[in-house]
Amino acid sequence: MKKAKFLILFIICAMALLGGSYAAWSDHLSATDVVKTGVLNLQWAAGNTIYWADGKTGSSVKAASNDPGDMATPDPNNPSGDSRDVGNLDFVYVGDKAAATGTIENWSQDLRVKGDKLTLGLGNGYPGYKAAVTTSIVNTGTVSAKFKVSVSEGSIPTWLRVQIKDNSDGKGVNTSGDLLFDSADSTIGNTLKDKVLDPTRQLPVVIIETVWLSVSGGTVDQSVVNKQFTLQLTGEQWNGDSADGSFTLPSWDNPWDRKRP
Amino acid sequence: MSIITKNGHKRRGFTKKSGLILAILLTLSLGLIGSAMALWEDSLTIVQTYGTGTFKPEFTTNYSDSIVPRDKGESISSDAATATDRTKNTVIIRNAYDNDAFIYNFYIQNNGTVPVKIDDYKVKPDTMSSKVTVAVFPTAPVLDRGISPGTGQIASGTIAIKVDADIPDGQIISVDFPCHQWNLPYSDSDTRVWEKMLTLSFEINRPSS
Repeated sequence: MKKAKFLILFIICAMALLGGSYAAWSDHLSATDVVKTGVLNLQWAAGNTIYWADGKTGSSVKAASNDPGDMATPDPNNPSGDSRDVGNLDFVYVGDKAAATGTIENWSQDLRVKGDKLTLGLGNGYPGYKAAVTTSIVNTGTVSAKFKVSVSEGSIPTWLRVQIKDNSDGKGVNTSGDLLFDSADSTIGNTLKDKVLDPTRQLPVVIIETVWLSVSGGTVDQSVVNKQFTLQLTGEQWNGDSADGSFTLPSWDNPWDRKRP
Repeated sequence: MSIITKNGHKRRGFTKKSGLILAILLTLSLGLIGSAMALWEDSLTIVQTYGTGTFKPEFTTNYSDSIVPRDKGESISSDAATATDRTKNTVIIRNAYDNDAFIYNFYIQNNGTVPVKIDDYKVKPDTMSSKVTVAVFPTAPVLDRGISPGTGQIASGTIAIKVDADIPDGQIISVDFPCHQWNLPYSDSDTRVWEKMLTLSFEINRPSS
């Protein structure tokens, strides 16, 4: 009996040693594949500046004040040379970062659908009035993008001309850059497609607004109050050619893909 | 997967339930493939609000008139009826004798939001232009700088009509003031420029015999 107990104990120890020996001579390899997709994210640059065009001299004048009725700031396109500040154009910029500092509801949104909005307000317009805003489109994502422009809400009145020009030379309303969009010429709406914006790069643009004199057979409506339209600059991956309508793909900054920190 | 047949044997195959699940899974899979294949997009927007001003030069309700000489008593009187849009005033002169002079003072205010300029005036009919003298004050704001919006600046003017013997009873003499936005010239044919005509009309009535 004593022999049997000793034998059992010996076998257990032998098995344990066998396991140890085997373990010492085994190894395993693992491959952890972390897949991260890119992000396509565009936004307006902060620090937009308003310039008035001085029609008399052809130069740009930075507006010190934009309050209507401030006679110190000339209105542009003034053939008589009689400068008066009558019309006004102002802006409110809402970028990704601005929206991200908001509430939990903002936090839970995809960065790509936050902000990205430039609100322009043209007030007290009259025939011949012209003003411009300079800004930049910034690619903060990791994928190159190209653009197309369309009117997504409302419509641009026939007497208001909206142009977007490449302002890479920094000359604002007097830029010789490419005309990227012109509400008076529907064939130019997709010119931005030729502009591929690589990650971390900016495309300086100037948005010029003119209350037209040359509306054929029409007049500039008076007493228009707070009408609105929306221009949409759709940026898509540089190598695609999508039809209208888009699909929102989950991304790294989307709560579908990650746990809340 | 197996199916129990009528005679109790098992055979391999799909039940209706498993087929349905498979179909759903297939649909979802295809949907995910579509998502993966979709282009990535991001949109920037420009939300544009716009408004325009108003162009509204008008006569004020204030006016004054007088007669020179006054030794004939109330031989001339006026009745200035202000039109609803205050762009026209009609003055009726009664008992106008030869060589009387009728003087009418008027005021123009800019009730719009865009400066108004008055370059000139025109007497109608042309044959009566020698009977009428028009002066607009102050000259500089009206003829050069324009009238600013609001009540801060009011242009005043004087019209003097000499009642000569050749003015018939009931003659109407009008003075037009073509107004236009301060930075563009007035043009009859160019309706794209904001402009408006202000008119003062005088009806000259002789004394009844």
